[in-house]
Amino acid sequence: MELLEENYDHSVERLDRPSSYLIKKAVRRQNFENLEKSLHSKTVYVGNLTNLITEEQLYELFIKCGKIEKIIMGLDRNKLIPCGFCFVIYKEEQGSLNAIKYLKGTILDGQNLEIDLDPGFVEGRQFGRGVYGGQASQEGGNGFKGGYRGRGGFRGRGNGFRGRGRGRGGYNGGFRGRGGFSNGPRDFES
Amino acid sequence: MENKRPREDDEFDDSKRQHQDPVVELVGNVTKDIRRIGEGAQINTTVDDISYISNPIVVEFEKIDELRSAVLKTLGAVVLEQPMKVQVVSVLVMICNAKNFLVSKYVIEYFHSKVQDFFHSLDQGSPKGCFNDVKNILKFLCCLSPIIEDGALYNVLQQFLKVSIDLQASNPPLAQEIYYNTLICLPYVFANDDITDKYDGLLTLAKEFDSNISLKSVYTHFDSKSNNFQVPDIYVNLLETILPSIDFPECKKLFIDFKSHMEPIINESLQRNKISSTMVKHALPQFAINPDVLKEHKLIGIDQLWSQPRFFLTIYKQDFPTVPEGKTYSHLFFKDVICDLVHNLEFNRNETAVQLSIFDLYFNSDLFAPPGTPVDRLADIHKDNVNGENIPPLSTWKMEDLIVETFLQLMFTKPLRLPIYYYTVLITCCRNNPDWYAPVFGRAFRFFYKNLEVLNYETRLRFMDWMAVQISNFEFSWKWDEWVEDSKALTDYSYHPTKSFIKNLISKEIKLSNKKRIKDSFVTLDPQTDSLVHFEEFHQYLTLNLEDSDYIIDFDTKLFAGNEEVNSLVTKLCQEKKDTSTVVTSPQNEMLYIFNDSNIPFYPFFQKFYKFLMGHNRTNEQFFQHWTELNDEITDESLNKPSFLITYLIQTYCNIGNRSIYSTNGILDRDLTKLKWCSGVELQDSDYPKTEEFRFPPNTASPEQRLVIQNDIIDAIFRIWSHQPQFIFVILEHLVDSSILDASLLFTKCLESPKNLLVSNSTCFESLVRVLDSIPSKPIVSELLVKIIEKASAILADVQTTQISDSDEIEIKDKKWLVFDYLSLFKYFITNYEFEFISDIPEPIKEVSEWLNQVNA
Repeated sequence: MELLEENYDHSVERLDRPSSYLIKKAVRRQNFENLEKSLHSKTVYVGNLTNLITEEQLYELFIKCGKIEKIIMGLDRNKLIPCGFCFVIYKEEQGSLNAIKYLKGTILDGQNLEIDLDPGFVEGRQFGRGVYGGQASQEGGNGFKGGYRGRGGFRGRGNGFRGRGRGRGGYNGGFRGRGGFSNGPRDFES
Repeated sequence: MENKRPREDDEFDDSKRQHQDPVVELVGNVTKDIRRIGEGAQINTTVDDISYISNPIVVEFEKIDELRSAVLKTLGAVVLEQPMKVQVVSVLVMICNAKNFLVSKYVIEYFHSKVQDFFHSLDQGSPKGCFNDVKNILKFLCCLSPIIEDGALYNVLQQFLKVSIDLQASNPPLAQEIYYNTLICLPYVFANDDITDKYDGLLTLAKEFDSNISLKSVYTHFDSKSNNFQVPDIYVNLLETILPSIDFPECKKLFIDFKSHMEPIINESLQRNKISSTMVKHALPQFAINPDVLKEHKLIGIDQLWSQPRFFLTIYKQDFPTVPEGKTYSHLFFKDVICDLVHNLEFNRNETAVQLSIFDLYFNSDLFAPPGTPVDRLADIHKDNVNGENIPPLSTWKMEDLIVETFLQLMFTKPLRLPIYYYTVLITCCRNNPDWYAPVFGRAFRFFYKNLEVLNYETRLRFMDWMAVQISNFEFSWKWDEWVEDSKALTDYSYHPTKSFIKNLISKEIKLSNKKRIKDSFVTLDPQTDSLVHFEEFHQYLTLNLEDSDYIIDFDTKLFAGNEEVNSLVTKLCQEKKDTSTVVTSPQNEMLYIFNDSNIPFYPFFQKFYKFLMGHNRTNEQFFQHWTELNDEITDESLNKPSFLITYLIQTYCNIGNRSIYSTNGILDRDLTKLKWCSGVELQDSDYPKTEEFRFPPNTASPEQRLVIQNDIIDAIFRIWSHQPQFIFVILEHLVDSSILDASLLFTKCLESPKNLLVSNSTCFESLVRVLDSIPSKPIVSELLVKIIEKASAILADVQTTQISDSDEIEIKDKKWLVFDYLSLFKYFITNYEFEFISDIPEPIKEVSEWLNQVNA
């Protein structure tokens, strides 16, 4: 599949592509249909939301990436209350690509947004698939972080070395980095 | 737990990793190394790394086609997408040249053919690339000066300069771009080469270009408001600045001195080279350019930055320079690279932010103060420089200031990308290095806030949007205490830009979060008592209501033809809502839907119809029967029945779907055909998806009646969601998209609103711009322009003059601010919508717009 092949057209990876979760799932199942669909879909999956988030809050942020057709809140299938995810359906494909490029990882109401391209909403997907009716990943426990797909955090330039994988040894320090990642309080004071 | 069973959700699954094909692995490693080239802080290590990277390239380049192709494509991508790396990439090519000159020959030919292909594609009418890409390739080729035949680069640069001079009369924007691009590339020839006077001829030739081109006032961010205020002088005109700023020895100081580090490696490689023991130089022919094609060429992509004479903003002005002085080549040099990086790497904002965080590493290490150096510390450095304590003087240039200043210009001047892209890159920068960036943002916020009175409407809105998104990512923390006194002083104003800014900023924050959270953010810590101080001054902005309860009472009483009982009932209900409303009351609970109150006239009929609408799968026929019944049951002859019924219907749909905006839109979509029929829209076959479906009788509403119905629909939605403007405009946008409403009525409603919604409410403005953008034909723009001027003229007639005097009453001053905002809005539409779309624009408006286009900044 074209998506999985390196074509050297860009100097860094594009963000407007399906996540490694979707790719691995497709490879493992040898079923690329959903992956193809997600590339041309107007829908994005948004995860790691607070249960108190509203459509209006999501609208205010996601409208910045394109006109929205619909927002479908993910619901706990037993309690029918929001359970931390939603689908944003744009009017144009470009909207969903913009959302994944620009909004993934930004904060809405205190939460880091998880965004992934989605093959398209079908009725029933708005309900959580967890044992207790909520979102499976959030019910999982066992320290599984980051909701749904459990991505790692900041890749950390503190140690600097990005690794060229050839084992030259003798790293001289300073490669692409200076200082660690600080998560201290922001202060707009000059 | 380490040997856990693999799961489908596992992000990484190493257990099944297959052995990679050695060629694929080699290509992967080499290209990865090229992409990350020069990201180290130590020059000697970087050069060693580059030499190491070059080894597999020079050995396998001719043997492995995949490697050759991948290396060339990767070099091309790095040069275009990460232009700050051109010098360090050129070092790789030069080292390769010493080891195997065929590699560099291929590389130079590859880049040459890229440019030539672009010009061929222009001839064929389907451009592949843009002139900005040509610029970055030229920069790269200039860096390769030591291995390009003598005179070849001169000829190429001369060719471009001549093209720009010849093109000046026929295609000024393109001519300006080519002229600037060529000159900005010129000093790159000395990046890795010694300075000579060989290129002085080009500077002489460049003088033939008329670069004395003024910025037009209409395209700048500031407005003196009829000379009431002094506009800050913050513009650097790129065309005027570029030629006089080129001073080769000064320019050379910008680049890293790789030569001394590179020479031993090159000499050693040449000694080992069996084919050539001297550096081989390569040909670089001139390009085949068709000047006639260029005359007609319209700027596309990033080139569109040149659709108007370009300028850079300089907002960080201290007693000492924190960015290179505006009239210098250094200023243009860095901002040019940052602009290209930001635009060309748009598909990965995280990487853009990472590259910006190490931006200084690609240039001479003495140029910038260490990243994140506070301004106070820079002031000390400056003091020591002046006192002669630092010999040589240390730099006070602050990389973050330079980056943020460039972003502000990109965000606020007809942004090429969606503004959210620029916002989120800055957010990522700030999250990666909060101590470096937060104070720089703070200074930018303060600069624009201080200049709110002279900012034009569009820039004010964009500043507000940026600040809202920015602080929403950082717990809504802001030094609210700085604004308390301003807010108090502007209590009696409605349209003062500062008050309008604060109000709209807070309402935007509420929309991104909720009232309680935002209310809780209006605090500061009293350093003396260590206790929290709440700023109650800002609580007035927590309400989003467009109207007060008097409006609701008047509206509903009028709907029921002045019925006294309804008046008392609505008054009572409004009071109850007011008494029980808090910051945590949901919009649904704030809604006042009167038709489900048992004391309202015709209550039983409303209830029956409400229950009918609540049910799913109601057919058109059932709806027709119930609607006709309801028509018959409303017997009060004093009522304006068509208006009454459509208001009832729309508000009932809003109430049923009040759970959320898309819940409302969903129910409106469900009954779209029914709604169209009730609104007097002529139904088409496509409105009846089922062939056997009941068809509504033809609508007999006249065009005038249809206009009335549409206005009633708009009014009904304004009334029912008057406490939540966001709902109003999303629903109205949806009805325009569904062809139930005519967009021009929506514009009229907002322009004629006594509250001047189009200028006073950012939700309204943003929504109407979206509506406008989605309408293919733009005669509506000319209507809008006429209405804006009429509105401004009417207010102007009240206030006589636009000169603001201290003796003016507040009400008069307020109206003058309103006039300025309407004029600014006029400018917005003039500058953002193509004139060919509005060819039917009335003559007086055309004259005003032409005049605005002539005024110099």
